[in-house]
Amino acid sequence: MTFRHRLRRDWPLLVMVLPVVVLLGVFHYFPTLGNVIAFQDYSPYAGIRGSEFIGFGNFQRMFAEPAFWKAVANTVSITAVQLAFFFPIPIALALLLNSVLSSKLRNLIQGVVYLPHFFSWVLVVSLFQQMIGGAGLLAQTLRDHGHQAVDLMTKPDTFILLVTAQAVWKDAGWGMIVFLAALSTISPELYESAAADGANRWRRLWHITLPGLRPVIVLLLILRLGDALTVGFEQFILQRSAVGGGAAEVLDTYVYYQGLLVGDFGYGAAAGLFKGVVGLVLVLVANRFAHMVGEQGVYSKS
Amino acid sequence: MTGPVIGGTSRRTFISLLGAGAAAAAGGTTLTGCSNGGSGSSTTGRAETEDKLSGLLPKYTPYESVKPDLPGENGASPGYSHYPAELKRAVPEKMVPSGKQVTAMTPLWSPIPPLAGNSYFEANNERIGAPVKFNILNGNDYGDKLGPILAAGNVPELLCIPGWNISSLTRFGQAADKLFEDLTPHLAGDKVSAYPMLANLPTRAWAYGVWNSQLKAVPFPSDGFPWMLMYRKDILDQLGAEPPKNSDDLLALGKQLTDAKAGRWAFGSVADEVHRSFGVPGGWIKDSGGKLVNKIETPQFEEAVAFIRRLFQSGYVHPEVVANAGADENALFEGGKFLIRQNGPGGWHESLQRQQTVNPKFNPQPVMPFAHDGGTPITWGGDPAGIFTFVKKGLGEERVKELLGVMNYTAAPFGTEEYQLYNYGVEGKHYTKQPSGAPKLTALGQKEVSQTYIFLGGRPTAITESEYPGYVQSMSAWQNASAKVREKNLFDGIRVEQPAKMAALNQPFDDALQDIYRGRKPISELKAAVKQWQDNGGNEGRDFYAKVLSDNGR
Amino acid sequence: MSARAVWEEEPTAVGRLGKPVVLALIALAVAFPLYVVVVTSLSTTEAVTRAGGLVVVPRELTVAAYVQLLSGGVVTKALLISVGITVIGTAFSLGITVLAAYGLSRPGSLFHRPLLFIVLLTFLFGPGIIPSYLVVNALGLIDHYASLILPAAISAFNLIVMRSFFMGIPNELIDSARIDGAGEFAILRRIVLPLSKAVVAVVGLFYAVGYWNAFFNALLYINDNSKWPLQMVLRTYIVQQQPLPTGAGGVATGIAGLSPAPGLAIKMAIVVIAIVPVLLVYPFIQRHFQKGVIIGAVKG
Repeated sequence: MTFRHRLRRDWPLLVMVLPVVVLLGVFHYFPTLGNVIAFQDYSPYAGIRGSEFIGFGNFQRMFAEPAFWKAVANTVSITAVQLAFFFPIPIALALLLNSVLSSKLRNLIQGVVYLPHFFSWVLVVSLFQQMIGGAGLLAQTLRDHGHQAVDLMTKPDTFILLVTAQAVWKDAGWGMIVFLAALSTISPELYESAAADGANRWRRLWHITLPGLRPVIVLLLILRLGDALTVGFEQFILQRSAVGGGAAEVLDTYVYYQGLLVGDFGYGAAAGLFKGVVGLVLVLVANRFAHMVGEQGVYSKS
Repeated sequence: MTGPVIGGTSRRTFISLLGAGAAAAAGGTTLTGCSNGGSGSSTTGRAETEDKLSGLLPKYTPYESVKPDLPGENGASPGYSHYPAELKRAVPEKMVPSGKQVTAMTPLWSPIPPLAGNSYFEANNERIGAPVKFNILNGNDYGDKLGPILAAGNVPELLCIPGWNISSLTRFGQAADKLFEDLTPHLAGDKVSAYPMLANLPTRAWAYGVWNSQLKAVPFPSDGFPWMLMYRKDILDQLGAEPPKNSDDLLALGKQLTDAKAGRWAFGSVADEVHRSFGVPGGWIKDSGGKLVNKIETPQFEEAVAFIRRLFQSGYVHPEVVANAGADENALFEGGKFLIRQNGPGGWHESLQRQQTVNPKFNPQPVMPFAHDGGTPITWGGDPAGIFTFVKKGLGEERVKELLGVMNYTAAPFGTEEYQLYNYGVEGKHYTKQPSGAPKLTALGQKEVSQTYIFLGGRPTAITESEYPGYVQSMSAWQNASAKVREKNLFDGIRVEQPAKMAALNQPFDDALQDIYRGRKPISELKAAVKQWQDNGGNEGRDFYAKVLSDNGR
Repeated sequence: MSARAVWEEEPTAVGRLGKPVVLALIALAVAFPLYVVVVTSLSTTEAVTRAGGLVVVPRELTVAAYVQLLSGGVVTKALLISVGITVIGTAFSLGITVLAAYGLSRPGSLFHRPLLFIVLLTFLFGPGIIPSYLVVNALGLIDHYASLILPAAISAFNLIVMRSFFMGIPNELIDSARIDGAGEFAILRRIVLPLSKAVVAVVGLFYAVGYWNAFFNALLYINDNSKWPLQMVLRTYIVQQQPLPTGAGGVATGIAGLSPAPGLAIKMAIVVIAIVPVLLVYPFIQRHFQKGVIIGAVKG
């Protein structure tokens, strides 16, 4: 079929896709090109054309900056801790709920548990503040009973646990739904025949359930790794003041504070670009790894 | 710069600046900038010296509406212990003939007043001749918004910028060039006579409104007192406690006043006051060898930090302040949740205004400057102008004249109709006259009146709020006592724009300092933080400041 | 009640006792904070004072806080803005997503692969905060409500979810419509959309929740605080604990016939107001939620 022929046939489809392409072009790809300012001593008052190119100057400055590495370290360690909780808890929840026989009860609990996924971070942080913050319910109760009040929202040492707890509270239920869906695709006959062969519940869990979940786990892991350096900007910007930048500065907040707010755009763009590139590499590597172990991954060459 | 939730700049916001008379300087920074005039930063840093600017500056023509009865010595503000019976009309005609709406962005350190249907705004706009459309932002977050707004070039016709916000912006010099009108042709020398209220602003304050050898901003004159230590006299009296006279007293008060179970703590923010009492200089000093030494490099600083850490560790500081270095302290102090804090001098009468109907017993009083060992104290000075209002570039000569007219209106000093109107609203409506002649806000006034116009330019400093019995006398006594022992500022009369690199050092150092106070980092980290500050640009800054001094023959 | 399969063991005693306890605790962890917030928002000054803060045991209840917040002022305004952004944004996003999902649902059509690639690539790489800010600024959208909609209007994820669903619609249906002379737009409207109500509902709700919860774009792009959406108000007055404005333009201080609500109740009422719309749409999300949608889609 000739090009003209196909165009005559498919033009309505192209028109339909056009708005999205334009929007992505303007708000995704065009700004992506704007990252050239990462290689400039960019002055917003002179513009891209009027600003001097300084090669990797911003990156050199950034790599020499302890605060930057602190932000990288925070980002990586928070991601690592969250990964450690991100999979076991939803899987455990899903298995637990899957074994509840009453479907009414199952739906009720399911409904309650994944509700917070739809709350904003502002709301989640507000709720945590009211429960375990310095003026929150926990502190209030302790004080009423003559104990020293604690404020779990402001301790930098335990901040990593706090943000993980928040992430679990918000999204464990959501993860659970995904795993529940995956569980439902495992054929009951597998269990039945395993049971007939004398496998007890733990052996069935190990030999049937977990392998059945593997594709989903790998998939979520890759997606999570792609986001590894995006630990949840809103969550951190909301709480940075309470614990100080030492514990709560992550790459995104670093870009925001050291780049945007002070008007040092070139430098901020460099830090943002660093984040984007590392995230991209992580996804590609993880996907490659998924293929190696025989999983489908996020994308594949077809 | 700072976190929206908090950070450097907002940490400095315990300085609730302003107040009709007593404007605060850019004080309270942990680092150098302030008292040395860190009013800007270009990438290289620069300095403007008052003596060399005479060609640019408006000619000073005093306008005296009333005579002060409590003179201010050594740079303290004059005090007026009663309101004049007759107000002078200082600005006879409307200043905006076109009647076109004026857009403005200003900070505010108190709850934002109703903007729609506010008769206090309407009354002032009527006199100005055009509606002023305010975008009022919380002062604590103001610095966060400025960087992006300037970079975006998205400025209103009148933009108020506090000096301490400028010091954390990169390339402010360029921004000033590109975004703001050069006011020199309108104001230099005799030209200012078209705006008699602006001509009444002190020359030293104008000198700080110069960037790139152009007069760029109308200054908000300041008496240079960055903050004062306030205590709740009403509650301390009840508890049989006395204000502190040395650091031992401070510790003893911490123990005596703190009762966590009753929800009461001794202290809010007191760090800068402790520094001062330990003899830490406000910025750079020369050591015996003539070498510049920054405040954070002095042994006194180390002692003071250890002492503050002790206050925190002993649990004497209110938990919200511990949690959040930028916490809003007004409500806590006024609610008696803690009893001693430092605050901008303007915050005093603001708190009286808020509390006069809520709690008539509310009586905050200043602690007279003391030294940690009970000896002779020093106090820090500040810039003669701390806040600036800029005019957007390229609006056309006529419009610039109108906007200067608006600032002329808001520069009218104590004793004028205009001053009364922008501070208190309309007599009989927003306030009534007490027998003493002092205005007292009505319920409507309480609701609507908010000091928003005062950020459109400044007016000479004065202590005037005699509606609060004893306030003027007490403030005047404190200012005179503080001014008497004010340390000598090496950079007096020189507005230094510190290099960008130095400005960027404030935040990390301040972060470290806040962490050390709160026990999040061991005290031994202080040395490392100072070292890092020196290595990352502090030493270069030292050379820069030394050069500024030698250039000026000092 | 579905019965236990015959091949399964009897539950152990630990399982029988432990399971309900654990499940109850988990549900409580979610529900309890919400409960406390709601009760406090409905409490009188005396109740808050007696409790010394948040109220767990409800005594005298009043809606004063809600009346004060909703009788004009910052919260009312922010609420209206958030509702407006959510409604308009969702309609816009849903519209262009449906169109594009259909446009991309025909493998082999012209430019199909490059166009799909353009969409999928956005998964892998974000443009960064600062360049995005510069673009929004260059378009003059700072302080404009459109800045809260346009940059976030497309979720590639939602688009792919919908596309997968469309691709599952039997080709015969579409082909027979085409034989009847229907164009692509007509096919979309008459054949595809009626079969896709569930996925359209789910994606629309996802968009709606996203717009409702968005806070970061407002933080970046809205300087004028009279244009703040509700999440910014929540952040400013609850998380940052700045004092609430009072008076006509802020929060009404007293309403005839009601004693003024305590500050804490007002704050908690703001939290509740931010939650309620999510609770309202939640049953719909649940009802339309197809277990398979997510997983099938991600692989698509």
